[in-house]
Amino acid sequence: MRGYWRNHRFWIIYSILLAAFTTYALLDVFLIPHRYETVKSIKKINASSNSSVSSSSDNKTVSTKYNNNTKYNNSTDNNDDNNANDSNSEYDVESVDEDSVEYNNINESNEDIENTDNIVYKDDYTYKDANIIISLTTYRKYDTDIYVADVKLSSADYLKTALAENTYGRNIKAYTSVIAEENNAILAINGDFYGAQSQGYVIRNGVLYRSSAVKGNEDLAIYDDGSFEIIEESKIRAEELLNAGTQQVLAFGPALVENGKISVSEKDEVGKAMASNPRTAIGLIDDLHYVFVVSDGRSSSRKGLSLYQLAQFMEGLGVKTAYNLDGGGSSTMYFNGRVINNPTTNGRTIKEREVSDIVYIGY
Amino acid sequence: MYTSVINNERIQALKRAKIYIPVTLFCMLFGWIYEKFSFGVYSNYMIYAFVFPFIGGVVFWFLIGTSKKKISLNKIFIKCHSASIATFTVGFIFKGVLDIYGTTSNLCNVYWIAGIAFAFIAVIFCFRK
Repeated sequence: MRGYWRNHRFWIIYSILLAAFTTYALLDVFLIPHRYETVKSIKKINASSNSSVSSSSDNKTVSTKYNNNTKYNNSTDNNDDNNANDSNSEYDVESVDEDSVEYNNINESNEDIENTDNIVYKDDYTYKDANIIISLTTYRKYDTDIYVADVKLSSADYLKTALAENTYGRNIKAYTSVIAEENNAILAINGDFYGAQSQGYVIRNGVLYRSSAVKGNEDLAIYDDGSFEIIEESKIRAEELLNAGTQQVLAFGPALVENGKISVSEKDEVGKAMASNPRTAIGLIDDLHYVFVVSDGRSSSRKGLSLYQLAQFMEGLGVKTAYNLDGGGSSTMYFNGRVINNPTTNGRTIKEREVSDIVYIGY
Repeated sequence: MYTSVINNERIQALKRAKIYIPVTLFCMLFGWIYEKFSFGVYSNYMIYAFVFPFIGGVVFWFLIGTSKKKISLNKIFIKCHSASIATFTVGFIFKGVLDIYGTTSNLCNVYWIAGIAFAFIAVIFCFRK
């Protein structure tokens, strides 16, 4: 026994050290919470703002560039009357000939909601009040269900982000729906999962949490007027962004659409994810007019999207700027108190994955 | 007597080469299975983790074992060489797991620093008696 110990003690001790360190490293990365900062104040919104969502500039029809063979009769078309939604809350899918593409989209609405002050209407597919209009539509494309929330706001103040447990840190996680409920979100999608990275800009609701730049990181900056800009961390400092009025910086990427044109190629992927996957994206159509997009994936009936397919889809919605957020098992859309999509990590069980942060619409 | 020492060292070297074969196969299999369940996400670190035990272990000791020259290796070299291979292999697998999950950690640097340190010590003691 002594002889064995004498001959092998180096290996016994080194193996124990290596195993112990690796265990600690795995726990540190995946489990041990590191709380760096608690969000102390969230900017209050002037809910009594005189501005309301105006239909005058928002009634653009989403461009229909798709070249597919499916036609969708949308759930929220022609909602002239708030009560008219009840029977429209399901989408129909029918096959049509190739090239006879038509998307009757969520924005084909002639409604004038100037008079909806203090009136809140909501059902499974619609939310309306004086400042916020959200219409939810489900598409079937690329063998995948794609959920699109069309959002029109009277002020960019209603486009916000929230952190899990209201805390900035690593391994501070919660379900998208839980964070959404805690923040009274009307609509929410998962964010960029900043907590999985140790570097890269984090600016949330006008607060700078992390300013370490990563070369090659392409971020989405959301300014206080609600406009979007794709920035590169190596070209602009986080403090400069903050001074320029940036409210949110989402650092996942890549940018899908810039200036109305697809900015990824078929070869581009997130990290090294070469397969179709659940996806989450956010896009800007016009001033204070956004789309939140989440796709299912990882199952035989819902295959998921490649990055390029997502970019094509976003372009088809008529966005000027679109940005890819954390996908895979994180992809979740929450609307009016329920999870809309089928979030899955392993493709077998439908279950949300905990995330670091969300992007949401709410007061 | 002289021939017997050389033969003994060669046998030991080939023995060590054999030990690294299952380690190499394990790394290959582990990486392959991990990729299978990663929904198309892959990491070069995970894929090439087997290179260390294969080149540094199987190939290296096989060449030593079949060499016609007398190569006498110091005990400290042998220990540090093996520790370096083990550290780099585990580090690559760890980095691969993080890559596939989509996260990063500064703790990866510990593997690289330790691996290089062991390799450096091994080189220093390479031909010392």
